[in-house]
Amino acid sequence: MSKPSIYNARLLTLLVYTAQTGLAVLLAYPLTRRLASSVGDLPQGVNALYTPGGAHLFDVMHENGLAFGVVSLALATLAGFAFVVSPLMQMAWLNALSRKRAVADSVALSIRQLGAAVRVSILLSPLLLLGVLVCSISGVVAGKLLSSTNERTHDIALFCALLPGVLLMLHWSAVHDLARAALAAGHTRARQAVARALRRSLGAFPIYLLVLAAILALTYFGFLFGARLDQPHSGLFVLIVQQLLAFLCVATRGLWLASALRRA
Amino acid sequence: MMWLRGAMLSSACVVACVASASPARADEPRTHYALTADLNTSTHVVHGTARIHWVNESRVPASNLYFHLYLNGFRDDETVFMRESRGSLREVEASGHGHIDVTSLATSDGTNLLSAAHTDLVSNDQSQMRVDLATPVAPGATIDLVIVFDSTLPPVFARTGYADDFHMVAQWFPKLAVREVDGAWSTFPFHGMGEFYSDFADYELTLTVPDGWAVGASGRQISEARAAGKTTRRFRAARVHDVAWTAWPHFREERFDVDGVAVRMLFPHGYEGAIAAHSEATRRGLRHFGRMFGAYPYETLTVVVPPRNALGAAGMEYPTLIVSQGMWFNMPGIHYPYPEYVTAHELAHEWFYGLVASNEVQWPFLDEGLTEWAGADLIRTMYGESANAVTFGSTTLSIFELSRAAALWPHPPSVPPARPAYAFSSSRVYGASVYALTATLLETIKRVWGRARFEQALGTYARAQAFRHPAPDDLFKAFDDAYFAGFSDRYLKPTLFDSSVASTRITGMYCRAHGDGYRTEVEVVRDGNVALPLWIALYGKRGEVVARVPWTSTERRLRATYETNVEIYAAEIDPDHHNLLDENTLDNARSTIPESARPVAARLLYLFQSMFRWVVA
Repeated sequence: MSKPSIYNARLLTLLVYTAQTGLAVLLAYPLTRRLASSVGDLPQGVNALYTPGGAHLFDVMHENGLAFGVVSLALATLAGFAFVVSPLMQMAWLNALSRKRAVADSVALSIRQLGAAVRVSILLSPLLLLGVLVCSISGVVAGKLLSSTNERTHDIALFCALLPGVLLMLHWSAVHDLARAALAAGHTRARQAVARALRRSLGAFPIYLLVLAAILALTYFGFLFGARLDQPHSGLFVLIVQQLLAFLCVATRGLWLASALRRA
Repeated sequence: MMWLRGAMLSSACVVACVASASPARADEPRTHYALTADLNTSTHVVHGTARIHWVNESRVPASNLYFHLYLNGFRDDETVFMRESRGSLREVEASGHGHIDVTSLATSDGTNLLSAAHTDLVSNDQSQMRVDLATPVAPGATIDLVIVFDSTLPPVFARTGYADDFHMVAQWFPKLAVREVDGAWSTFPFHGMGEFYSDFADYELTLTVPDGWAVGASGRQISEARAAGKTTRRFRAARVHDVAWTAWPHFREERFDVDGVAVRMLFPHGYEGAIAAHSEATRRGLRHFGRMFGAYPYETLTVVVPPRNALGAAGMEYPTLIVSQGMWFNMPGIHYPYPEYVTAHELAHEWFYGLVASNEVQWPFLDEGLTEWAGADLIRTMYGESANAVTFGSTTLSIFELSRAAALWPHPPSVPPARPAYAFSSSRVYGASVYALTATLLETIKRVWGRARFEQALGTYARAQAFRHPAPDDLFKAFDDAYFAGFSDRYLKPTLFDSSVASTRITGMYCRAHGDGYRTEVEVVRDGNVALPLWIALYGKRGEVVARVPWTSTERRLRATYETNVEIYAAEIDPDHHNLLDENTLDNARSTIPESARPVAARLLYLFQSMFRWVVA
């Protein structure tokens, strides 16, 4: 089977970014309105929230405690929903990347592939469990063996002991993506897709780690940028930079999926 | 409940005597304790002797003596301490028991007093001991006692005990209660919330531990000798009211000198990087508190950071020895000075507890409340006016705003600060009231009337009451002297005795053209019982302050009219955030310009996008 070409990459990045942003707006908009009404009478307006010392910030948190609770609940509900439809969305993304076809066709195809996608997850679950098991055992054993009198050495050694398990779990994540990419590339049987993914995972794993690190770094930079620019009238500038970073995160994820497809 | 009633009765006797006692105590002659302690590191038992030379400094002959045997607070699950604390203190659960057994009690001439000793003063509690004397001790006379005891340490909990081979040994010897001038004994069972109250004395401690074990103790070490695989050290501490010590073979140590005070930092291996922050807080604190409250009068100070499996020992003060807490690493990029804050707080206790030895059980706000303010003030001095509690990026939260939140949310504490420790049924209310509300009140007074006068008031109190046992009236007098007569009645007592706050709000703001200028009418309301003098700021269209007008009247509702040359778009009570006793500051302003929340919207959007990134595709 020839390696698939990549199609619709930019359009799909835009669509996924739009979907994530749409969900985020569902939460951010009412909360923003609520905050605006809380600080609406203050001469400093919303900038009072950024006053060093947090003089008004605490009161806004207190006054809007219920609203924050409602948002948390909505967030959990949306996240739960997104988690359920995540395999569908990922398969749709991979299908649209793998062939020149309409997005709607990719979605329809991904619905038909849903069973195989779930079977992939089930087949790979022992690998995930192995990672969890390695983490638990190494953590417990290291905790027992290491002396607690030198906490620094203890903690560093414990971190090192946990690392193999963590790497196994990350490896599982990479294999998971590769197996679904194999489904999108035409390997209709889950077992076959998993076997292929496992064979190719070692070469792909460093790229996966690189992509993950890049997404984490971009996300962190976005938060840091927003925090550093806690100044009046910085809203538009922060919005532009943070959205650019959010888009880049989606694009980076898209690059990894495209890479997974090429390896499938 | 019987046990509670017994505890309350015992405490009630103290209320009367504390209220009537004069705080002034003669410096000489002083009681003297010669203590020996031999630590068995396998059984965690301290075999000790106490030779006590006690001076009856009261005006009344003493026909009995009262001792505190506070280690018996951990004897079983039915003691006053265990029932009041429900076996948990500062999120550390009791995982075993401890006790002190007095095996011999006699006068120095050999008269046995053990048969005249009674520990059943409160039902199911042996944390106090009364010894009836055949011959009363006349005023000014002395009695010499020899006590032999075994202190079995619990797994470290509520400041005392062991964790593996770490030992924090506090409240470990029979200690005389305070005999007030009128002859009443201030004696208490070991309460769940309460701490300690003792008289000043000279102490000598002879401490024996295995060779190679590091030791930290109250006072100055004066000798060290080794024999038969053990090391014996002698410590001497003059004019203190307690001695505590710690022993652990794995302590690392740093020493430095601060204006003649020899400081020892004892900490676990691996903490070398993190200990710098504790050292800096200690160095700065000794000078900062010394300047405000009078110089630290002792030659030594020992700062202990316990290992993390001994958190039950952490966050506690003893004369010339404090126990802080913290981790071995600092979070990169996040400035969170909590470990230094613990050190700052415990160090401040060397004044408000150590030197100004108020009754911690009867009036805990006099030590914990004042210390809470002083410790936070040191952190502010170290890190700046606002960036002193949590710094993440450029987001900074003030430590006093954290205190305010703890004190006023969800509402001011149901039990006011100026209540005995045993009046608090939960540590949450105790913390919110005694610590947070008192500190919030003090900081508000400091902000409203300025630092100089506040330092004058608190500094005068601290200097005047050093080596004494002051009561709240002594604090109130210092504030009345520094501010004006009746100041305490108006601004301190309502909050301390009634949890009153100083909430304000603005209910109306109208601006109309009037002649060549504008006339603005502002209606403001006081909701709390504390009527602080505050400012009202009037703002122009671009947010500039056009005028600041004082609001000093004490009426609940005030309608004031101001004439200005420019149109007023907003008015705000307390624009400088002096009043931390306001339950809600958001209702302190009125604006005619609709507010946009775009800066918040951008950040919230990014936050939620980042969350969805991990679940959507």
